[in-house]
Amino acid sequence: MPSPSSPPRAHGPTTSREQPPSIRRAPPSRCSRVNCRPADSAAPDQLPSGNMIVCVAVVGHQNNPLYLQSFTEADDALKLHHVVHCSLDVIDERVNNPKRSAPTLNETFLGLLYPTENYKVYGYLTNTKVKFLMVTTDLDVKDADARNFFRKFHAAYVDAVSNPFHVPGKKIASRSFGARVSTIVKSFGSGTVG
Amino acid sequence: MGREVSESCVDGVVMEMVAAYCGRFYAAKPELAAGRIEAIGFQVGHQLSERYTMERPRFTDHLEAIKFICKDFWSELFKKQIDNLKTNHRGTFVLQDNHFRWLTRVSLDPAVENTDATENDSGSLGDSAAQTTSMLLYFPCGLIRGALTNLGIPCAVSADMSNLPACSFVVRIKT
Amino acid sequence: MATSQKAARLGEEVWKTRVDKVNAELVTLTYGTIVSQLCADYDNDYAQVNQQLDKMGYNIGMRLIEDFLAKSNTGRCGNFRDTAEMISKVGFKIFLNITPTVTNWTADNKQFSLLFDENPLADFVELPDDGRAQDELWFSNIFCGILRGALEMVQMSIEARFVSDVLRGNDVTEMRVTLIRYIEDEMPPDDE
Repeated sequence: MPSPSSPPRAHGPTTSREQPPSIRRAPPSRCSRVNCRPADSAAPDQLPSGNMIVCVAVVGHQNNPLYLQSFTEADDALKLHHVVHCSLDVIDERVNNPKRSAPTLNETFLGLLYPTENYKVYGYLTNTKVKFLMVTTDLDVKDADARNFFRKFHAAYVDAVSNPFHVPGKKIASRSFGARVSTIVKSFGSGTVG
Repeated sequence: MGREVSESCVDGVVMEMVAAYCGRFYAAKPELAAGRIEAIGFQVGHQLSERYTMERPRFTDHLEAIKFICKDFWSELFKKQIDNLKTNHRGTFVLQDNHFRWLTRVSLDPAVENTDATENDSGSLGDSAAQTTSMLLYFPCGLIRGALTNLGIPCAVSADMSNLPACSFVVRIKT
Repeated sequence: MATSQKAARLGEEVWKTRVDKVNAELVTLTYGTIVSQLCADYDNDYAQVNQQLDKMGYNIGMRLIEDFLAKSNTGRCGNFRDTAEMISKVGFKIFLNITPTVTNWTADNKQFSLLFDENPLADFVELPDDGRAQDELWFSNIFCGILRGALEMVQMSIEARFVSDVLRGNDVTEMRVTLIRYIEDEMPPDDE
């Protein structure tokens, strides 16, 4: 039973207020793409079949964690956190050093961030500098499915931060957001529209 | 098409909010009242910018974000765009609405109407009516500031009503 | 009931033809921020917040009634049952485009319920999980004040209060409205 220690605070301007600590980032040399492979402990068979998304995350513009949910029975939490950390590096790189030729320079959908042995990580960056991450075990993801996922996820996020009692910059505590995300995750890749 | 309500709802809530904060909650402290009204606008602008930028690519620079405020954002709120945008190319933008909706639709409480109402030359208001109006304008200033801040552009926003019924919002980007 | 259908048609027609409409988000978010700001200002004394919302609603209602009368162009209601229909099918319709259901009349026809199956003010809202808001805060209490203020301007003294709210985890959002008395034209009491 969640029991916050203090009542919700006033929503004044969000500049220069106490910020939650950023996700601790591994130094770049340790987090190169080659090293970002999850340890080979958990066997893929433990993942529930048909549910191909194993983790979704929302990270704020100061790399503050706003939401992190895994959907796997396996004890992958640490691994998935690591994957999320590395993804943030990749996003920063992509956004700050865009390929000159990239036509999708300002697109919110960032596409595949990087594949690991067991996972694929997809990213999305909103206009308000919020990052969405989706980790999937499906190695044959259709671009359209990934885009569709993020579109629905974005809509759910917008509704969650439209709650007057949500404090910008703090973790999303909304129960209906969690339920909605579960639904979106479950319908991933099944081809359902909308 | 999302949910709709009547404009008089918006007018009613906004007017009462201004009256409550000025007249009841911070009656003797107009600066505090102004700050609260602006802060409410800030949160609403923050949330609206999240919603109204959902389906579009990211802005590449400040000017694009300001133009968004002038066009899409203003249209969603006031069913018209900003009429005139000026900049000094050094971080200050002036957004002018020639017929700002809330100044024309919102009726000021007759009890606080100015004494020199008989000589109502265009562009001027009596003292207390002017004060209520300037209090009201803290709200759209907050809306703009909240939206821009959420888009990564910290700024200060003030209103200039020296040329009613036109109203200008001055955005100064913080560097 | 003939009145109910007439009211529904009137409300529909006025909404379609005589109301300037705007996206609901501005009202929803502004009202929500006002409520959450009040909660912070009053240190989560939800009873106080309820009171302030009621008072704000009262002031709004007193002004809104003119708009209502001008747009709906109706005369005085014959009885309280007609009033209820006008409130739900015209009043709420032309301002919020919702029509709460009128139900649960007492035998003396002086008390009824409004059941809200949708509520624009509560879109996106989840009450804080502090163990008290769900029991003490009536998020949409401004409605009670609006009804009270509006009806007072047309010579009716009523009491309105919420008895349940889906935001609190209840099955329905229900407001109970009671007619206290009709206000006759009378000499005002001596001011103290």
